[in-house]
Amino acid sequence: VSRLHPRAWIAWLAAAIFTLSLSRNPVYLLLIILCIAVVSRALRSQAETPVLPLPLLRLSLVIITLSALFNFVTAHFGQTVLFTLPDGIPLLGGPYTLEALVFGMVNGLVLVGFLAAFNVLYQALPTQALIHMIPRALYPIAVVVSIAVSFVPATLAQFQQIREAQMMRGHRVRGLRDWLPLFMPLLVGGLERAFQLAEAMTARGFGSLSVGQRAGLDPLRVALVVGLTTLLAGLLVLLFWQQEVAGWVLVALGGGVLLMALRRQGQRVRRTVYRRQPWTGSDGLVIAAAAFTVGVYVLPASRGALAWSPYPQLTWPGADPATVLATLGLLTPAVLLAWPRTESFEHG
Amino acid sequence: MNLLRLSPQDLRQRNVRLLWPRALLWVALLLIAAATGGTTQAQGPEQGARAGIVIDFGDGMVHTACVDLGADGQATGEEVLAAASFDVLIEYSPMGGAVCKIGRQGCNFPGQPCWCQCMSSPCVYWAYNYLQDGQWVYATVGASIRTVRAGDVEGWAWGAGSLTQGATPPLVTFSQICAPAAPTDTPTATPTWTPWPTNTPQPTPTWTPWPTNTPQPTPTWTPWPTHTPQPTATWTPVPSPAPLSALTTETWTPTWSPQTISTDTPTATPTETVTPTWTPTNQLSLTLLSPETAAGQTESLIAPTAALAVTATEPAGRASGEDEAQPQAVAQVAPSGTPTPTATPQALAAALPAAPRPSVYRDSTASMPPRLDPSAGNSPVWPADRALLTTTSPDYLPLALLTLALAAVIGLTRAFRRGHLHLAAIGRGLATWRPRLPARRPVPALPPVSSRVSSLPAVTARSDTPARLLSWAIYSLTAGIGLLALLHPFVAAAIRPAAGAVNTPLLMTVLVALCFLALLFEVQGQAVSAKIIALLGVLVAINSVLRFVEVSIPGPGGFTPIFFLIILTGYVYGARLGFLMGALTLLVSALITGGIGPWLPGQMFTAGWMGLLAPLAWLLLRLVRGQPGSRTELVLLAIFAGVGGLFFGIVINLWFWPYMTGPADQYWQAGVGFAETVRRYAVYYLATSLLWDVFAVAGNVLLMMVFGAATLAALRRFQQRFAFEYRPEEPAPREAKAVPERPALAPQPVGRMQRRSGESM
Repeated sequence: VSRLHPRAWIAWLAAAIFTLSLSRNPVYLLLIILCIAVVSRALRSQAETPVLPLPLLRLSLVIITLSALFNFVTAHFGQTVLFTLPDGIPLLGGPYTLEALVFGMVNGLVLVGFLAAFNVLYQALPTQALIHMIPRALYPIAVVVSIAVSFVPATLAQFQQIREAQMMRGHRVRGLRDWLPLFMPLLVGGLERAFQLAEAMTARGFGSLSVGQRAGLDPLRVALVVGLTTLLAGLLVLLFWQQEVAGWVLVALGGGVLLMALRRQGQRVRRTVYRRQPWTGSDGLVIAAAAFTVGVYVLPASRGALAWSPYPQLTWPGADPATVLATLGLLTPAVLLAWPRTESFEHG
Repeated sequence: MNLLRLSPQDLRQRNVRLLWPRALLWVALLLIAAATGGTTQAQGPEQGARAGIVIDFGDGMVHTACVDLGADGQATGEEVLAAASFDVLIEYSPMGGAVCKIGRQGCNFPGQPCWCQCMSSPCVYWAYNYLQDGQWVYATVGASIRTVRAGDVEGWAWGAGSLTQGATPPLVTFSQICAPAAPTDTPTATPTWTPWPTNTPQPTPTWTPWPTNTPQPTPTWTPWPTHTPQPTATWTPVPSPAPLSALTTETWTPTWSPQTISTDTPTATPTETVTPTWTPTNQLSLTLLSPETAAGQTESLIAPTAALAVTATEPAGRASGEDEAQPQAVAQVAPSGTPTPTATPQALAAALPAAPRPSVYRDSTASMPPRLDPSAGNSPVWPADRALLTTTSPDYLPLALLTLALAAVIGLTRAFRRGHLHLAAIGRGLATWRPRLPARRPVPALPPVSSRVSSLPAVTARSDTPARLLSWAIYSLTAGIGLLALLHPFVAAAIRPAAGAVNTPLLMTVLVALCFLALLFEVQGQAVSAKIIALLGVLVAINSVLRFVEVSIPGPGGFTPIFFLIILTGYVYGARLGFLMGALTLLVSALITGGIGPWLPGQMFTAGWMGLLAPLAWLLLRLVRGQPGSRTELVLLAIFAGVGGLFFGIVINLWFWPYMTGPADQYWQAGVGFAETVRRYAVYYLATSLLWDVFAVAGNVLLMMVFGAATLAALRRFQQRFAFEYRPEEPAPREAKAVPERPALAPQPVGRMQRRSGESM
């Protein structure tokens, strides 16, 4: 369990995603991915982390290869022609260039960065903290999600049991049809559990308080309709009448009304928290570092260093010390995690 | 959105009447869409597949060229620009290529930033325009993405501009750059020297076929406003007219007869006949020299392996009776290999590099002393060439209206015959009108358990019409916005072909996210009872385990086992549960496999739609009069699952397709028209995703055929088992007064179940 507040992690994630999407310069992309990897490493040393179904490194190689191949085959820009297919072949014909290959790899690198950044979030925050982020207005959804998440290990264990039981009877999986004796007990057993769960929930009084929507003309739902109508109007104005100002004003208005309605609905629902995560100085530090990184990246002066394109002819990417230094701001969580643990961080 | 409320029972009871009129209505709508799309495709009759390009260097120099688009009649804006004989520097980005430098004007990318003069206000850059209805339209996409077709005019202008508006070159029509092709489709080398301002001295160029180098007294150039037919030197190919790019091996014996018609000087216009022959590995270049200007005009015909050897059969004589001091244009026809004496060597050199398809047809650079102001009186606004805009596509509109009328007639007839349209009944109906919504299970309202709770029961009563109307409004609006956000490339192309759609992925993402929140909020109102929450939670858990298995052991292509259960849940338990099942499966499986990312909302929305649409299969079942539990039902569900897999693939691609870049014929571009947009998306989809999705489709069909029957039976059995109600204890008398309309029920113990078999949830 990380010692940082979920909001601090969200800010860090936002900064990582933003910097990744702003640059196509492989130097910076690799640097950002390196920072993410260091943070991930620091987390891993801290606590047991959930196991990913596919190792990230292998997945990254697959992604980069696929992305490079795709761009190589479909984009025929660039001057360093490796070979040429006849123009007559639809889609594939044309020159195959080194630049297209490199550009595809860079695109793959961005994707890998995204994946790694979200993976850190997944490592850092327990699932319950993620579910906690579902807006309060959508509390039934949150309940369903938390039930499902808690049932997943049970379902997996049940699947294992069913498989063993079927193996004892000499069942072997040879084709698709042989999965039926494995799947059906899983489904029926799961539905039985749902039945028991529903009874248990009712016995504990779930649903006896109606905190959801009100009957009749609930003002919040009216507000929802108004907000959606305004949004639609704004979209139509933008798309078909090209009135930019009016359209954006309408969209902003509609979105505002919608968010306000959801917020009000959230206030109707009372949520109790078993253990509140305190906001500490490290959280503020992480947010400040993220803001600093993003701030330097959006400066006009760093635009030249961030911009790099392999087209029309491949060149070496350059780097600029200020931007490189700012990128290292993404390392803040790793530094804080590696810091010797003090009593003030301990809670519960 | 009737489907939202369709439960199996409803469909069983409701006749699917008026099907024919509805089908006809759809056909009519499609035809109208096609008609709208068709008219947008109207421009572009065959002009020998040529396009014009105007390059305004911002320093008074304007260059025009007529570019041959090659055999397929289209090219990207970038290719056309590359064919215009200048060095071009381009920065590629997801929006397409941004032109940094043309010739000597611009930024030295990548040494400089591409927008080197755009760091502060005023922002000066190469603005990209295209001509539409006689006006320059600012292109919202890069030149490497935009497709240029025959008859188009591309405009490049170096000047100050903003994100939505840029500098425009002087207004020139296509016919001004490329003279109309002869009806015989003869390649016409028409050096059109168009002096812009009316007050420039009249150039009287003389044609000089090289190597004789004797001044030829041919065409008298007439200045612009008189609109005299311009001198045309007509190539008459002897064997057969062929497209320019195909001139490879044929031997040509063209007769060159420059016809000069001048109203002012009807003096001797000797017609000379030149007999050029095409021989391989040569090239033709015509150079117009204007002594008055330093810039030369390069006429170059780049045919890869063909060129022209000219034999002048007639000595030329000076025929123009005009002043010798006037500017002259000299045409030189030179076999390549021999140095070509031109005034602008760099232009010729630039004309040679690889310009694979498009070749410059005609090319001219004009130095314009006074910069043209379109608003000024002397602005050379040529009348738009209407011939270019004649429509060639079939007009679908009358057909659509006819179909619409037919649908109306059939619908009304049927309604009368079946007694739906008794006038008295209509009057009665109007008096007691309620929105005709599917019958709902009468659920006795849950009384508040505690006296402290002031809110009304969560379950809306049957008579709660306003609440239902609200519900419907929310469903329709979210579906409308979601579809518009998804389909905006097509919708914009159909309704306003000229305008570029709002090209902001951010806006669409925000809109979809807001809609998704609103929709979840509305749908979850259904899920407040404990049993639905428990059922949904467990089903989502099972499906997430299936996803987990799929991620661990990747199947071939897009094969995934999750849609099978999503579709069946929507089919058996109704559209809303289907929607929640689809959306939450992807959310939970992302939570457990670490697949959270920016792609998640789109995936959730689309998978939710699949569950939402699953009750459509009931409609199909009604159509073929199949019975629940029969083989027909299974086959139908398998077909539906297959189509659903395809739908998922197509829609998922649409989320990002408009923002991708790549080959011009596969990617989205503003202003290409509805039909073209659909065609491009189809090409893109076929090229990149179809194979992948074929596995998804096959997997869905296979899973449905193998597991469908057993799963359906299990889900139905539990549907019956779950159809019980908890009836809480009769509230205290004080509260009973607070809810007087509540029917008097026999007191029941808390939590006692009453099974009501055969009812939906």
